[in-house]
Amino acid sequence: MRLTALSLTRYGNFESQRITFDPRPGALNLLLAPNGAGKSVLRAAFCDLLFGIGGQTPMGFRYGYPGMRIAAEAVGPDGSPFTFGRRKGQGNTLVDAEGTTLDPATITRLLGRTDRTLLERLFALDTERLREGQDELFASNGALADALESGAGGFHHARRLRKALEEARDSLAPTRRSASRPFYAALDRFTAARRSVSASLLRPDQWQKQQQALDAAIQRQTDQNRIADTASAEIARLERIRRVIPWLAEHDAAAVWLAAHPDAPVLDPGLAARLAETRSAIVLADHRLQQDRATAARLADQQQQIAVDAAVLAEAEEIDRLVDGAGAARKAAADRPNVTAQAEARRADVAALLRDLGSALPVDQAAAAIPPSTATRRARRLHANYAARLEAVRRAPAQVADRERERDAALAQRAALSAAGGLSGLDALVKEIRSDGNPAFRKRESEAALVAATEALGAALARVPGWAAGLEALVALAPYLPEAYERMFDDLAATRTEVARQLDLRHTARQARNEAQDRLTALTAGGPLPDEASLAHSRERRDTGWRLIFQRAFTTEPPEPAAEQAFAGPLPLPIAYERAVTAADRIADRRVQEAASVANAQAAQTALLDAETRVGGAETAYRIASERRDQTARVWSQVCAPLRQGDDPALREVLAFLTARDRVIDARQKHAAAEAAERALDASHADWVARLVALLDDGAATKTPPPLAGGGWGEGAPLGEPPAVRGYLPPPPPPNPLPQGEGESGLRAGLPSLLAAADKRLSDAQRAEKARAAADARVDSANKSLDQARAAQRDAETALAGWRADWAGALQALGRPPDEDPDVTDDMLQVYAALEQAQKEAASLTERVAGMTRDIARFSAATAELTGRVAPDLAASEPNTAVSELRRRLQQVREQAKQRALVADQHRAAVAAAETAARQLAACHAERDAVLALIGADDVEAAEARLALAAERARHAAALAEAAVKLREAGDLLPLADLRAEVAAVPPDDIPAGIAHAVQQRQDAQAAAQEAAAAASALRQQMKQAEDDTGARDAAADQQAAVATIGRVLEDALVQHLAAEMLDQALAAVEREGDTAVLRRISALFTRLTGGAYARVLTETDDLGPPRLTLLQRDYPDERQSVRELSEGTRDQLFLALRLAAIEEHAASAPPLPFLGDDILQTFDDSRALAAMQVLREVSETVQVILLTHHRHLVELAATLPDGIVHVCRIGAAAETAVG
Amino acid sequence: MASFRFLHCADLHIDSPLRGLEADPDAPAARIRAATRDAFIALIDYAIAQNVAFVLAAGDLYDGEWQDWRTGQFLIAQLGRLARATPPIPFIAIRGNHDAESVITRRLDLPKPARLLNATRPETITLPELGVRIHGQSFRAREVTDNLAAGYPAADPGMLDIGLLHTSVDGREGHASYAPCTVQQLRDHGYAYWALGHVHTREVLWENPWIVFPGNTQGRHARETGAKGATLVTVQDHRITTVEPITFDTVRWAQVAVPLDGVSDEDTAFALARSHLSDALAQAEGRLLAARILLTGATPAHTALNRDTGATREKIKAEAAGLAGIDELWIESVAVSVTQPRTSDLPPGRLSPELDRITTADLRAAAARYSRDLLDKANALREALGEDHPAVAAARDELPDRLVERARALLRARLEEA
Repeated sequence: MRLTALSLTRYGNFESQRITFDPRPGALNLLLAPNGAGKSVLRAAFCDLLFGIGGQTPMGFRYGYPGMRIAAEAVGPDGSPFTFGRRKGQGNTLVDAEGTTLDPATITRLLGRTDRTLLERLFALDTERLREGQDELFASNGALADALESGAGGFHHARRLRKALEEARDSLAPTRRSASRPFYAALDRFTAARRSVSASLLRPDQWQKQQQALDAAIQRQTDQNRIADTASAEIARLERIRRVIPWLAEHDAAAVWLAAHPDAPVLDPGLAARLAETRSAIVLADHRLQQDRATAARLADQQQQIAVDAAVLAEAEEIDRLVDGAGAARKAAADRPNVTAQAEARRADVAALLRDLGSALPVDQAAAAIPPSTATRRARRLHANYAARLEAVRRAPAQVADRERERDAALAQRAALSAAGGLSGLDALVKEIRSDGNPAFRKRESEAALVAATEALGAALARVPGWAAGLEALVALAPYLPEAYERMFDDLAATRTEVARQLDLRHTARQARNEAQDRLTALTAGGPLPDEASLAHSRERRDTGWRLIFQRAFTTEPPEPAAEQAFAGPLPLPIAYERAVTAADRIADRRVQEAASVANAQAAQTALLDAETRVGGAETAYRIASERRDQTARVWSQVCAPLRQGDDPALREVLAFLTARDRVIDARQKHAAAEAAERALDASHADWVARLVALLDDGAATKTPPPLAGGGWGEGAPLGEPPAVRGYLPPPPPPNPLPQGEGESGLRAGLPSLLAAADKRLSDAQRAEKARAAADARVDSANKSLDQARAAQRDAETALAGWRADWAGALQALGRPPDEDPDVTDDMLQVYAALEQAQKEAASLTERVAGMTRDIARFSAATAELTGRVAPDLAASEPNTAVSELRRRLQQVREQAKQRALVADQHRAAVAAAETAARQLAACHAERDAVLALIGADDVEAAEARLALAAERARHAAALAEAAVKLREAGDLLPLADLRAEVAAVPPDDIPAGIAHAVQQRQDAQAAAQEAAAAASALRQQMKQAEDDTGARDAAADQQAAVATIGRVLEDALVQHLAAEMLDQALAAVEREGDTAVLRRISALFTRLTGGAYARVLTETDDLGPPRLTLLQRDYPDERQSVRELSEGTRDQLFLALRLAAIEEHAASAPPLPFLGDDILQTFDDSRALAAMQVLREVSETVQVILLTHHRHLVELAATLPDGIVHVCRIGAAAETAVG
Repeated sequence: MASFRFLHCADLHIDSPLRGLEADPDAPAARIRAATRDAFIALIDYAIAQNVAFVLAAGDLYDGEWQDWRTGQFLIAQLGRLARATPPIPFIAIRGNHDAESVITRRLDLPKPARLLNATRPETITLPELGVRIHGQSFRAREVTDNLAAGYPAADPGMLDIGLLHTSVDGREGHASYAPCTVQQLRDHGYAYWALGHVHTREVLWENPWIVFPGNTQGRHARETGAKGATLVTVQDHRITTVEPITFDTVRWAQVAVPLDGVSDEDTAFALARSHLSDALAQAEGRLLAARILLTGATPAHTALNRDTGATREKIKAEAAGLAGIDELWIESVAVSVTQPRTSDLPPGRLSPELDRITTADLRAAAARYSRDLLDKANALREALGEDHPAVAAARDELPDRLVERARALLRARLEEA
C-alpha cells in the first residue's frame, strides 16, 4: 500500500488538514513542518489509520472526540486506488470515503501479519524509537534476528536449547552410568529381576528330587511304624498275662468255697435290712404313743382354768353400736350453735327481699310471693330474644338498599361488554396446525434432517475409496453382486494358488531332475562303465586273437599278415592276444564288480529321463496355469475397471467399494426422502399460511392483510420453495421460529407469526367470553342477594310482632302490669330469683338445727339403758364416758373367750394323735413277723444267723462272677483255656523284663517313624511353599516392567538425542553459510550511510547474554568497534541501516506498508543526510518512504537529487512543490 | 451321530508375563500377573459348564524358555478339573514352536484322558462314540520347516476328521514360518475342521472345511488388542453348524488413536483423549483395560503436546485416573505423534529450512552410537527390548523415520516456544 493523501479532521492539533504524497516507487516524500506543527500527530494518525483510534486517545486535546476522523487515499500493490479511514467510536470504525462502514477484512488484507507493535517498531519511527536499536530487532524473531545471531557465531537460544535437550537426554539415559537416572535405575531392576527369575525358578529336576526325598521319608515312616506295631503286640501279650494271673486265683478260690457249702441258703439280700427297719419302727411307734397321751392330759387342765364374763359378751353388739354413735352425738352438740345463727341470717335476707317486692307477707310465707317458675323462665327467654329482633327490624331497610345498588352496578357492567364473535374456524385451523407439532421446530427438524442427510451423503461419497467421478456416475454404475466378485476373486486366487503350486511342482521337478543328473554324474565320474556291447566287443577281439593264434599254430594256413597287423598292430600277436584277453577279462571283472553301480547308473539314467519328463509336464502345467491365471486376472481387471480400484484390486477393496457404494445409495435415498419431506412440509405450511391469512382477515377486516409473498418462512424465501440444500453445501441457518411480535409486524413474519397472531386472536376471544359470563353471574348473584334482603326484612318484622304478643302473656302470668317496660320486668325477675333462693336456704338451715337436737337426745337415752343392764356401776357416769368404759370391758371379755377356744382345739388334736400312734405300733409288729417268716426263722436271733450264711454264699458267688468278667476284660476276650496256657508259658518273673524290652523297641521305632514323618511333613511343606511361591512369575513380571521402563526411557532419550543432533546439524549448516544476506545488506546500507567509513557489520555473542553488534571501519579493519563506541550520528545511521534491512526483509514476505520517519536524520551531517536520502529513495522502490522534518536544509539537500524523485510538502503554509 | 460341541484354543502362553507395563505400586499387579492363568481357568470353567465333548489346544501352552515347574503343575491342576468332570473331558494338545523344547513338557505327565500328541509322526485320537478322529503332530524342535500337514492321514468319509496343527499357514505377517502349508492344501485334505495355532489373532481362513486360528487366550502386549479367547465349535449330525468365538481374557489391550486434527488447545486434546478412552473402556466390558494412547494429527496444540512428552503422558494418565480406577484402566504408554497445522503462520527463521533438510540418514550414525552405548550396558537388553524397539533398530543402523519425525516435532515445539 502507498498513500496518495492523508486527511485529518478534528484530530490532534488539526481541525481539517489534507496532505498529499507521491505514491510512485522510487519517489521520496519529504514533509516539512516546524516544531509543534504536528509531525508526531501525523505519525500517530498513521498508526491509528491502520489499527483504529484508541478509546482514550490524547489526540482529542484540542477538538475533543466528536467529529474526529482520519481518511486516506491510497493505491494498492496492483496500482488500483482506494480510500479508507477511521472514525472515533466503538467496534468496527473502519469507513470509506463517504463514512460508510467497511469490512474489517479490507484492512487485514493490507496489513498481513503486521500488528501495531511491529508497525511502530519498523514503519513509524522517530529518533527515539530508532535508537531502541538492536534489542527490539532481536526480539522480533524471524530471519533478521536469526541472521544477526548466526552472524554472531551462533544461535544463542538455539544453542541453549540444544544444551537443554542434551540435559534432558542425560537426565533420562546418559551414556555414562549414573544409578539415579531412570535408565540405569530400570536397568538395575532389570538385572535384579533376571537374577531373581533364575533364583526363583522351580526346575523340574529340583521338583523331582524333592518328590523322591518325600517318597523315601514316607517309606521310612511306614517301616518303623510296622516295627512299633509288632513291639506293641508283644507288650500287650505280656501285659495281658500279668493282668490275668490274680484274677485266675480269685476265680479258683471262690469256686472251692461254693463247692464246700452246698446248704448255704439263698436269701433276698434286702431281708436283713427289712428286719432291722421293722425293729426300729416298733420302738419309734411306742415312744410316739406315750408322748401324745401326756399332751392331751395337759391341755384338758389348761381349758378348765380359763373363765369368761358371759353377760358382757351377750351385749357386745349393742355396746359396739353405741361406740359408733358416740362420735356423731359429740359433733352435733358442737355444730348446733353455728347452724342456728346461719338460719337466722337467711331469714333476715328473705324479709328484706319481701320488702323489695313490696310484700307484707311474713318470712315463713315468703314462698307465696314468688311467681311460678314456668312464668319466670318464659319471661326470661322472651326478654333474651327482644334485643335481637328489635335490631333486625331496624337494620333490614339499609341492607335492602345496599343489595339494590349492587344489582344496579352489575347490570351496568354487563351492559358495557360487547357481543361475542364466531372464531370456530380459526380455532379448528390452529388446532390442525398444532396437531402437527410446533411448525418452527418441525421446520428446523426438517432442515436439520436435510442437512444431516446431505452431510451423510457427502461423507458416504467421500468414503468411497478411489472414486472421483461424482455421485451420479457412482449410482449409475451397475456392478455385479458381491457374490459374483467373490466368486471371480476366488477363481483368480485359485488360479494364482495353482500357478504357485505348479511353480513349486516345476521347481520340485527341476530339482529332482538336477538331483538325478547329479547322481548320474557322480556315478559316472570315474569314467563310463563298460556296457554289454563293450564286453562283447572285447571278447570278440579276444576271440579274433585266439583264432589268429590258433590259425597260425594249429592250422596249415597261417593268417594273413594284414589280419594280424589289423589285430596286433605293432605288437607281436601273442602279446596282443594276451592284452586282448586281459582287457576282456578286465571288462568282465569290472562289470561283475560294479554291477550295482551299473544298475544304479542305469536307474539314475532312467530317473533322469523320468525327471525330464516330469519337468516337461510341469512346465506345461505351469504354462497352462499361468495362462489361466492371466486370463482370470484379465477378466478380474476388466470387471473391476468400472470401479476404478486399480488394475488388480484386492477382493476386500472391491467389497469395501461396493459396501461404500451401497452406503452412498442409501444415503442418497435418505437425502431424497429428506428433500421430499422438506417440500411436503413447506407445502403444508404454505397452505396453512393462506388459510390463516383468510381467517384472520375475516376476524380483523379493518387490519392490513399480511403480505405473504415471502412465504411461510420470512421474506427471504419464495413461497413453495423450501430452503433445501442444493448440492452438498451446508444449509443456511434456519429462520428464527419465534414470533417477532404482535399485529401486523407479526403477520409479516410468516407462519409462526401468523400462528401467534391467531393464538392471540383466539385468546382475546376467550377472555371476552369469560368476562361476559362473569358479568351475568354477578347480575344473578346481585338479584338473589336483593331478594334475600327483602325477605329478611319481612321476617324480622313478623318475628317482632309475634314476640310482643308472647311478652304480654308472660307479664300477665307474672302478675306484672301489661305495659311494663321489658327491662323493668327483667329486673323484677332477678328479685324473684333471689327471693326464691334465700327462702330455700333459710328453710334448710332450720330443719338441720332440729335434726341435731334429736340425735343428741337419742344417744343419751340408749347409753343409760345399757349401763343399767350390764354395768350398774356406770349409771352415774356421763354418757360418752360410760360408753368408753363399756368398750374396754367388752374387749377384755372377747380376748379371754378366744384363748379358751384355742386350748380346746389343741386338746382335741392331741387325743386324735394318740389314737393314730397306737394303730401304727400294731402295724409295725405285723411287719416284723412277716419278715421273720420270709427268712424262715421263728425269732430274731435265728433270723440273723441264717442271714449271715446267705451273705457269705452270695459273696463267693459274686467273686466268682467278677473274676470271670475281669478275666474276659483283662484277657482281651481270649478263652479261659488260652489264658491259662499263656500264663503257664511265661514264668511270672520274666514278664517285667520282657515288657521293658518290648517298650524300648517300640519307642525306638516310634521315634524313627516320627522323625520320618517330620521329614515328610517338612518336605511337603517345602514343596507346597515352592508350589505356591509366585516369585518366579513376579520376577518375570518385574523384568518385563523394567524392560517397559527401559524401552520408554530409552526411546524418549533417543528422541532428545536426535533433536539435539538435528539442531546441531542445522546450526552447523547455518554457520557454514557465514554471513547471511540480511547481514550483508545491513553492512552495505551502513557503509553507504556512513559514506564508506565503515566496511562491515558483525555480530558477536557469548554464553552470558544476547548477541551484540560489532563494526569494522574501512581504515582500521583489524579493530572491532562496539555500538557504544560510535558517535551519536553514526549510531543513528547504524540503527537506520538495521531498520531498513528489517523493512526490506519484512516486505519480502508481507504486504508493504509506508515507512514514516520523523526527524530521523537530525543527527546526520549534510553528506550523510544526503546519503541517507539516496538510500531511502532506493528503499522506496520497495516501500513508500515519507520523511518528516523541521530542517529546511534537508529540502535544500534534497534538491541535489535527480529531478522528480523528491516530493516536498509543507503543513500549513505551503503548496506542495517538487524539487530536485 | 449325537450333537456335541468342542473348544479349540491355542497359544495359551501360561505364565508368560504381559509386556510393556511399567511398574507402579498402585497397579493391580496380581491381576496383571495372573492374566494368562486366569484366562485358562476361565476356559476350563467354560468347558466344564458347557459340558463340551473335548478341548483342543494347538500348541504353545507356555513359553519354551520358561522352566518353572509350577507352570506345569498349574496346567496339570486345571486339566485335572477336566478329568474329574462328568463325563471326563479329553484335552488333546500338540506342542508348538514355543513349547517344543520345553523342559516342563518333557517331564509332564498329563492326567488322563488328556493327551499330548506325538512329535515324531502324526498321531490320531479316535473318539468312536462321537464319530470323531483328531489328528495332530507336535513340534519336535523349535523350528519345524517341514510341511507337517502333508503327512497327516487321509480323511475317513465315515468320520468327522479334525486336524490339529501349529503352523503359519501361507505365511502370516509378524509370525515366523513354521510347519508351512497352504490353505488350499488344508482344504484339499478332506478334514472337516483344521484347528490351527501359532497366529495370535483370531482368523477364520476358510469355511467348509473350517480352517481357524482362534487367537491366543490372553493378549500379552499392546499389539495383541481386542477380545481374546477360544473358538466353540458345534457339530450336529456329522456337520459343523456353528463356529463362534468365546472370550476368556481378563486383561484387555487396546490401542486408542486420538486424532487431534483441528483441535485448538491442549485441554481439548486431553478431553478428546478421555472420550476415546471412555469408549475403549466400555468395550472392555469390565476387564482391566491396558491402553496405548496414540495422539495423532495436525493441531495448534502440537507445541504443548510435543515440548514435554513426559508431561503429556502424565496428563493423559491423570485423565484416565479421572475416568476409572487403576484396577479398571491402565495406561501402557502414550505416543505423541502430532504435527503443526499446515496453515500455521510461524516465522520461518533460518533454522527452519535447515531442520527440514535433515533426513533420517543424517542422524543414523549418531543414533546408532548413542543406542549402542546404552544397549551394551547389560546383556540381553537388546533381546528383551525386541528387534522392533527404535533404539535396537537404531543400533543396527535402521533408525525409524517415525522417531526422527518425533524429534523434529519436539524441536519445532521447543523452538517455537523459545
